[in-house]
Amino acid sequence: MAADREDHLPSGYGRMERGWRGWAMLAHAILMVAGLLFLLPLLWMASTSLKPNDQTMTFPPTWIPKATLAPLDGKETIVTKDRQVREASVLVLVLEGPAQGQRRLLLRSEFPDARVEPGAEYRMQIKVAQAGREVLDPTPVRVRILRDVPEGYWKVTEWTPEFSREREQSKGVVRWDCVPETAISVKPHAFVSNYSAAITRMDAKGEPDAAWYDRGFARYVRNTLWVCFMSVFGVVLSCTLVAYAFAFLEFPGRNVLFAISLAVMMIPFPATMVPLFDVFRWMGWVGTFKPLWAPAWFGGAFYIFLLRQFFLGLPKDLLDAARIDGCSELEILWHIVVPLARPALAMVALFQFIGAWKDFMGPMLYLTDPSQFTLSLGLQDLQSQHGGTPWNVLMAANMMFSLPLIVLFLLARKTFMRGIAMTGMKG
Amino acid sequence: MNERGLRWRGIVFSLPWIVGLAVFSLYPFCASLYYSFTDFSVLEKPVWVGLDNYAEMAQDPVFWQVFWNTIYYVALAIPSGIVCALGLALVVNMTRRGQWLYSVIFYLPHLVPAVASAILWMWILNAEIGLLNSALRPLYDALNGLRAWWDPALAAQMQTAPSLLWGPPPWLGSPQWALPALVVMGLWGLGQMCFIYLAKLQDVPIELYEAADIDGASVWQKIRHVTIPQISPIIFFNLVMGIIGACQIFTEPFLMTQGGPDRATTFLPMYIWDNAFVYMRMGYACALSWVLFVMILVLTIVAFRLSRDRVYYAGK
Repeated sequence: MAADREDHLPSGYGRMERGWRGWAMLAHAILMVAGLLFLLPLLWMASTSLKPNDQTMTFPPTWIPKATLAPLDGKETIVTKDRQVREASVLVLVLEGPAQGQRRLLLRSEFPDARVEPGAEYRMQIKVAQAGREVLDPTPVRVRILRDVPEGYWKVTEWTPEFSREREQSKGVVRWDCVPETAISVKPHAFVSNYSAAITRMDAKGEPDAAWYDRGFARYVRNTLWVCFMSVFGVVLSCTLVAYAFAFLEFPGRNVLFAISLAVMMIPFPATMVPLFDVFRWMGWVGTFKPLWAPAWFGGAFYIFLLRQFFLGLPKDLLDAARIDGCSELEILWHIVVPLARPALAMVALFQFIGAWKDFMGPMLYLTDPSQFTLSLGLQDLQSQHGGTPWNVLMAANMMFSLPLIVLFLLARKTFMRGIAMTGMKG
Repeated sequence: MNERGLRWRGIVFSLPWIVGLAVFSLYPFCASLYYSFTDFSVLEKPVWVGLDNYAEMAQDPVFWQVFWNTIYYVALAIPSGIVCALGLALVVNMTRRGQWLYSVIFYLPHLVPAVASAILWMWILNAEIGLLNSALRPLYDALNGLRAWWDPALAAQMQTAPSLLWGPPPWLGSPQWALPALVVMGLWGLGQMCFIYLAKLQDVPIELYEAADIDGASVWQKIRHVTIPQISPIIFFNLVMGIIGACQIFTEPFLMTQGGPDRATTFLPMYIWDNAFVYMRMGYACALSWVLFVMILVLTIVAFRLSRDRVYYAGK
């Protein structure tokens, strides 16, 4: 049918009158603009998730993540530009005192000699960290001259991934150097470390000495998958049975039951939320995963409706023939209906999986302990953590949460599209 | 025996659903009506208080604000959603190549979980550094330049009073823009609706267009007089589903604005949530949830009434 239409007609609306041929072009133009608008937020999420933190807030916004590279101790390293040197200075190595082994940048004018040789040693006052602030230490310490830093050089600091062990261990002491503008280069670079940063940050919620699979992120994934699989399994099983009954078995009250089933789709979740919570509390299920998957084992109105529609389209003669051959209803269901309805069942499974994966209100309502969090709650927790999480790390977590669904959708596109088209059959 | 056997099997097969319906839908539904007439905190037994909850609601200024917020949101989100989704589907149907690609692109945002899209949009809608305002700011700058050029007196004033300069809206940061921002964000996820329309558009019998062609109808006339009437049942279906969905909006405001600023984005579901699980006033929460249910019912009936003569059912 669809192929037929494509061969004979110039548009989805039959023949176009003269002069309207340009409409197809215009349609494509409109759709490309609209498509771009729909994609932009996703691209922005992907792009931000691969940026270093200092590039997330630039104006105008940049789309391609870039790394700033500079030679640090002779080796090309990813750095952040701290500041430009305003006055001729000297880079020195501190040889004694609390800051021993660290580098300092001192003003050229502070030195008594007109010329400073690399390797020469002086006694100078330097700034030291005191209660989190840099203050000038009145007692001079011995320093060795490393090199002259002319005005216009950049102070660059080695970049370490957010929340990484390197950053934790460095305790504020980071490698840095002063380099001329010409030595600094910028090139596109994907900061994949944001993803591990997001995982580390989520892991920080769990017991620090627990095994990796028992800490935050891996746990959230396990919990989410558990809820997804349990509810998918239950919903497919129960809805197949019930839809079979609605489609093929006569029983008293069937039509009334079916009408009620359609009507309950009208009841919004918030309207039944409170007594439902009470039911689960009475069962002692609050604080477990059961409220999230157990109801699926008792069917879902929408899926039952969808499957019933599909079953009604199957050849009834086949069923009657099987019945005459003495097959029981369960045998008919298992050997005839299920194989024929595989696309519809796959669709129900996919929709339920996605629904369970995305769910926020349910886990928010029933799960209390961080060790039980699903990815939804883990992500929300990451976003609201004390001190805030940088946008690039949040976007990396967002990507990890959304990408599986997008991949699943692209893999099963046909099943999906057919399913969504069927959704409208109720009309 | 066979006949009777089939009967029993029918009931046995649908037993999970009968139980599920009773325990997870009908009981909570009826219980919430009962609780709405009681004073009930989780820890103690409900105490019958008659219509007190409803009387209190009528006096509760927060309730009225939340109520009108919900209506306002529905009034903005439903028409804009239907117009955009239907418009896109009509345009997609005009093309012959790449239809699947467009529908995939429009569908992708629908797959992003609400928590993830809430965080993403908080970032995009950020008043200072968000992507949206970064794009809008040059436009406003140009506009300000134009105003200054038009009115030199104003230009002089602008120098001293920056509040005279127009700027992009602060979106989630301001009471009047936060709700429209949520609507815009909702439009991003209209792919599902759009796809349902598209599937229906392709089911419109070809003969109708051919007949219209013979009468010399233009494309616009065909859309207006053939396509729209043919897909009117699905427009109506999407309208009802849209009403039910929009009335339930929870996650986005919960995460993005916590109902603020100035409670401008607190909707009924969130107020129910707060009363039930924050203030532990389950009875009042149930009364609120009945208001929500009746609201959906009334809106659906209004939709029915308005569309009764405009929806075309083939063969009826």
